[in-house]
Amino acid sequence: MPVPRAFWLETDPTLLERPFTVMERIDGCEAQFQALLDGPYAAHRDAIGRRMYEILGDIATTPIDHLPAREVVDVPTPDACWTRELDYWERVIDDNELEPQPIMRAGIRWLRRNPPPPAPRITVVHGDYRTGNFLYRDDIFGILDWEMAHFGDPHEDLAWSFLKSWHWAKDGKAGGVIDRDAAIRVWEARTGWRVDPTALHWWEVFSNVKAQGIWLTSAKEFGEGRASDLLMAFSAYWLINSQDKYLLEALGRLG
Amino acid sequence: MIPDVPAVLNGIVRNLMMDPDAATKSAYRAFSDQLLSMLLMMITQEFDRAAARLVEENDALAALFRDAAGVVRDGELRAALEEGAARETDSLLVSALRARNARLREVLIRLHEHLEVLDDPTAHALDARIWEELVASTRRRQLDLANG
Repeated sequence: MPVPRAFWLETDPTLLERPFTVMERIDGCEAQFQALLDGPYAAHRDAIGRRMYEILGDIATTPIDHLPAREVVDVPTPDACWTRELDYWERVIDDNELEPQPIMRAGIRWLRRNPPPPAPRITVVHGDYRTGNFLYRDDIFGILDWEMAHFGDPHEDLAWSFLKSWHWAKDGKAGGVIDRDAAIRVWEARTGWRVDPTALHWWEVFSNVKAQGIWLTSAKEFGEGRASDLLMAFSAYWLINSQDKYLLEALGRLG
Repeated sequence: MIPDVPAVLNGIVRNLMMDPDAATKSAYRAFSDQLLSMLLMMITQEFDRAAARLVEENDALAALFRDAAGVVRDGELRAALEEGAARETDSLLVSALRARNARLREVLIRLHEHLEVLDDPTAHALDARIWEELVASTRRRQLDLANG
């Protein structure tokens, strides 16, 4: 699996405000999605789209029994994957909303009233698997941004990768690179498993709540002066209302 | 007369985009300036329309609450609906309109949760109106440059 190797973990929070890792540097690659849509790498878009879902299949089929991560990360039972994630991200919204969120609250109630089937198996879940979070040229050379990784239902990563927020090309393609059905076929062929449409839909609705939790957190951090990165203010203006709209769409409430 | 705020913000964006030092900027600085330009354009639109969209939304919620107050049996919720529906001589300060909007949206969440478990035609009709209002709220808040 193409990932930069981790060299060191520094747990002392006084050096860079918080614990950090030092990773292998991968040179000569692009990370921005724009270069894949209409830039110098556009010719590789189809191949990279397929490769993206092969790698996601490899992540899902990684045997977890002997992974060192088990020593520090809980492994949920198949019927608890969804509650653990939903409880966590609902708390994030509780703690960070700058104004009441009637659309997100309606979505959360729907998610609790319509639970997904138990996870078919417990797998590694990357947690932020999408275009923009890997390094590429004519192939993918490094999957990045593992800070939300956990054990859970493999439908979660698929659903997150399909989120409309990453439809960069506005052509309905997941991550701007591949049709949703084609992505599912690649993933199914790689894993040998079948996607459960009911579970996938639940996790797609959930992904809107999780994404909004992230944007609301950015907005609050910037608004209260704890962060100065303009990207955090930008994402609030660019994404919060859109995320509400995408959730309405996922719930079948938008025309 | 001084230039109005959108005109000034648009001028700042023009300055950022026509920076004579653009060719010597680092990739990070160029990205940061591009981000700032887009953010300022969105703020410009929001500045101009904020009071209008908040008044419109607050009025829509108040009208919805007036109709709902007659059918909600929960006394505490009915009182909150009546209070929300009462005509206020609002300040037109955006901060005051936003504060009222937040109070109304909090009551809207309670009303929605209350109605969606009731099984009668009036509750269903009000529930449908809430969904229409939620869709309308995303249209009011949509910014031209936001993610589509």
